[in-house]
Amino acid sequence: MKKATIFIFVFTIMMTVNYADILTFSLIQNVTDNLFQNKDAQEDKVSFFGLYIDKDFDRTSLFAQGGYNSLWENPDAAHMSLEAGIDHFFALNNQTALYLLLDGGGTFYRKEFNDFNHLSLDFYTALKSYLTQTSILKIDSSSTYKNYNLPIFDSLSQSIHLSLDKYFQTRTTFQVDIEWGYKHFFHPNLLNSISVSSEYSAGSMGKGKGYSKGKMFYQEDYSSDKKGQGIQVFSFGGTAAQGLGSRLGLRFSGAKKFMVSGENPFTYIEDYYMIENPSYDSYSWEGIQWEAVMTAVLSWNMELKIGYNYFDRSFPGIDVLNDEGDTTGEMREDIRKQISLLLQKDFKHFSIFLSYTGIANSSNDLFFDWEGQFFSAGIEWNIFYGARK
Amino acid sequence: MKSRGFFLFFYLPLIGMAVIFFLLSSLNRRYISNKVEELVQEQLEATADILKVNIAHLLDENITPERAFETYFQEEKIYYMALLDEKKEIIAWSSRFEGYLPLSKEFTEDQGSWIIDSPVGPIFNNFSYFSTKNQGIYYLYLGYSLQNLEDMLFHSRRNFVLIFSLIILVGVIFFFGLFQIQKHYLIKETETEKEKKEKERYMEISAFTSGVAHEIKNPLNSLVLLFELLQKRFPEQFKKDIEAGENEVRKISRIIDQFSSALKPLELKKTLVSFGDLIEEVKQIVEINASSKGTKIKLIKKGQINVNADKDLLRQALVNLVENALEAGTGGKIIITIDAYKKRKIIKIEDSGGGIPQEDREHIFDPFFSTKKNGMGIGLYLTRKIIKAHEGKISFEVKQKKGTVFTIELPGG
Amino acid sequence: MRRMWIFSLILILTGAYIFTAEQKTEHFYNVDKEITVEGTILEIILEPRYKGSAPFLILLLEQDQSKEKYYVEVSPIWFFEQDFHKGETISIIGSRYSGQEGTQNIIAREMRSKGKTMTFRDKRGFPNWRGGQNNRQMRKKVKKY
Repeated sequence: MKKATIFIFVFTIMMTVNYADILTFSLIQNVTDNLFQNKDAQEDKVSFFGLYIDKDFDRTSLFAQGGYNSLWENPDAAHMSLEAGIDHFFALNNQTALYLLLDGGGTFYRKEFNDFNHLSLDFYTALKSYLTQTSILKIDSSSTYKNYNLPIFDSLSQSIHLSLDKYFQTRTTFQVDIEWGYKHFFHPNLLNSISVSSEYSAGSMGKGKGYSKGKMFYQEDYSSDKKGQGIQVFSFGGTAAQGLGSRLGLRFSGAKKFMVSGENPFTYIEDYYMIENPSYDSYSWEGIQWEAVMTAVLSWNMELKIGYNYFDRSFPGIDVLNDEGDTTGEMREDIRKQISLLLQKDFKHFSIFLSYTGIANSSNDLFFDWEGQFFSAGIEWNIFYGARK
Repeated sequence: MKSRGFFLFFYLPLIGMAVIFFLLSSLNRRYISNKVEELVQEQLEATADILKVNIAHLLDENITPERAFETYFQEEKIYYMALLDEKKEIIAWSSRFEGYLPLSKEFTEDQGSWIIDSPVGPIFNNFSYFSTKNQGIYYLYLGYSLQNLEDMLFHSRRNFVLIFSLIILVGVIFFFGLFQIQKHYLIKETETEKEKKEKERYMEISAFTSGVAHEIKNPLNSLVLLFELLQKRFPEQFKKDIEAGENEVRKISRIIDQFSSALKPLELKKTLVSFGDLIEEVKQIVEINASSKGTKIKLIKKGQINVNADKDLLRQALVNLVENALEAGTGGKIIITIDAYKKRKIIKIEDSGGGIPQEDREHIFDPFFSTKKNGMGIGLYLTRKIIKAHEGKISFEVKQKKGTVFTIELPGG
Repeated sequence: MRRMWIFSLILILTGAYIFTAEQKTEHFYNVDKEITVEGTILEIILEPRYKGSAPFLILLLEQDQSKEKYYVEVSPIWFFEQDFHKGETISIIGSRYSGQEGTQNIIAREMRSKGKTMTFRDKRGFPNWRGGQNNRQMRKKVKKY
């Protein structure tokens, strides 16, 4: 599957590079002191190299992109991602616009993490409409199908997000958001093969039962249970945005999410930096989140964004495990505080950015009681490449 | 990667080569571009002249400038066009792009041609004057697609990118391959050196131990005979003590035999062995010891798995591992799992002890290395020897303070 | 009137991708007439501006200091990047021209609002939505590239 996908992608790239309009190279360097985001902080550097091409036809665009993440200290977690798709804008009437995006791709890891290899298909729609001159309605819908090497992660998810905003004379915009989502795992208990580690004697990086970093899958009993399981989430929230002149903007938002039905089907879950762990996403938790963001336009048109996030999350279906790997009967709950800074400057043919994120995550599962810092710097270079008619 | 510096050393020639190619190619393209621009400028000035004549003709026939103008805005290569009066005020204009007419005073001061850059590629601009028979003075501003130049540049750029990518790809594969060979060679050399030393040490120990064993066995045999004699001659009340003494001597003899056999090369007697039956036997052997420590032994069998192996040696290897696991801690459980993965047969033995300390992990398979008070340190050494004789692999993983998992992989068809 | 019909007929027959020749003579981006205006949005108008193109977002802007009113032509409505509301304060760099009945118009090139800068045209007025830029921006927003 992997070789066929890569071959098709490379062949498509080589054919379409003749006709592409834009070719973009990206180089991003990331540094962190806690790659796996747990108590045993591990430093690492992640280098990303990306290539992107697209071909535009008025409001339609065909695109393809590929990227490679190389980890300096954990080369087993290096991965390549490929994606191609098409999108289009419609004007439904004078007040309403519609955007559609369809794309497919795959992500492939090295041997030790190849249980995370997956193919995905996404369909996304976004509608925006001016209800009145001070009020905008937006409806977004997203459907994603993912097929993993390790079949317990195969899933189909669907979400719909609705937002309605209103601007007031005080220069404040209030926005109400509602989101509903459903994720169906096709067979989260089906386990008929194991990932076997090669000869090495490194220390453990996981915690007993459950899935641990793509390495040895440690589970007492194998299962041929093909039954599916779903998680349904619902959230509502609001945003208040205040403009202070044209150069400065402030935004405060809060949201509450409920896991309406279902729960995480896995024994425990981890959240890594720059490595997508299929068991940890927006469907895996419920709780509240707050955000405060300031955006500013500085001299030379540089954009600065400073943000603070607060999350109080619990993970239904995920128990706190003790050192022996046995459940304590308590549901895992995390409180996360996060600060982020982003500085970006766009030039004619390239853009650069610098960012910093600092996270403090406290949890009743001490293994996930951690702090981490994440730095990124990147450059994106656009080549207007194609012949135009 | 540990050898990052070494790796970069190989890449430097590649990067240098790529940079030189990039520079030469860019200079070449720039030269071609300049030359073609000159040629195209002449050609398009001629085109502008023809347009001016035609528009002048229509104006002379009293057709309005808008009408005259739009008649000629059919040519696909014309991106925009504007007609200006004698005061250089726009009378009429059209553009293919919403509101795009890049005309400014700096360009209209004098007649001339110039090229501007745009997201649709370079556009040739021409601003020139013409007059009609009625003495009307007009200016024509024309924005023309430099399609030919675009095509040439496009092909040049495409070829450049393809060749550049090919050079990078080939370079990466070549130098990476070279690096891997070098790395492999270095590793092999180190391993060979290590093996050689090990072998020499082994030969020394083997010779020494054989000699010592031989020297000790002789007097031991004599002691055994002596005890047998004492058994016959001494009264009944002493026979028990004499028997105990004889047993101790025989024990010493067995220990010496064990040492000797540990150092001898193994001769395998292979038969078809059922993994399931084997681990049942192992469990039976260690059951008593396990019960005394309060440890449970659990077997997990994933199907019927058979392998060609020396049953006795393999059993001995597994018993060593399980007894090691029992020594790791009291209570808890030991799980023995058998499985098959692709063409390999796998046995795993997992304990729930404290795990192997970091400083010992490199040495646990070394002969005469033991962390136990009374251990001789040859159990794991023998186990690995047996597994290697079967062309298999043994490895272990320490779970954070939760015990150790030993994994044996044997080849199987 | 007759000429209008003939002209329209010619346009239909040629099936041109060009925009109407009935364009106002000044209704193009003129770098010599660039101005910067900071003001409040009085009205949001969504109407076609160019034949063959999607409806455009037009803002009726009142300059803060002089109270002068401008019709600011922004972009086709499917340009998702911006969210403008009546009453918001924005800063615009664009090319000014006089329209029918003496109305003041601006073709926007760059706009700043609530700490964000949005670019609609390049320095000479080439529209960014013609290069697929908004497709790329939308994908970045959706996929968080």
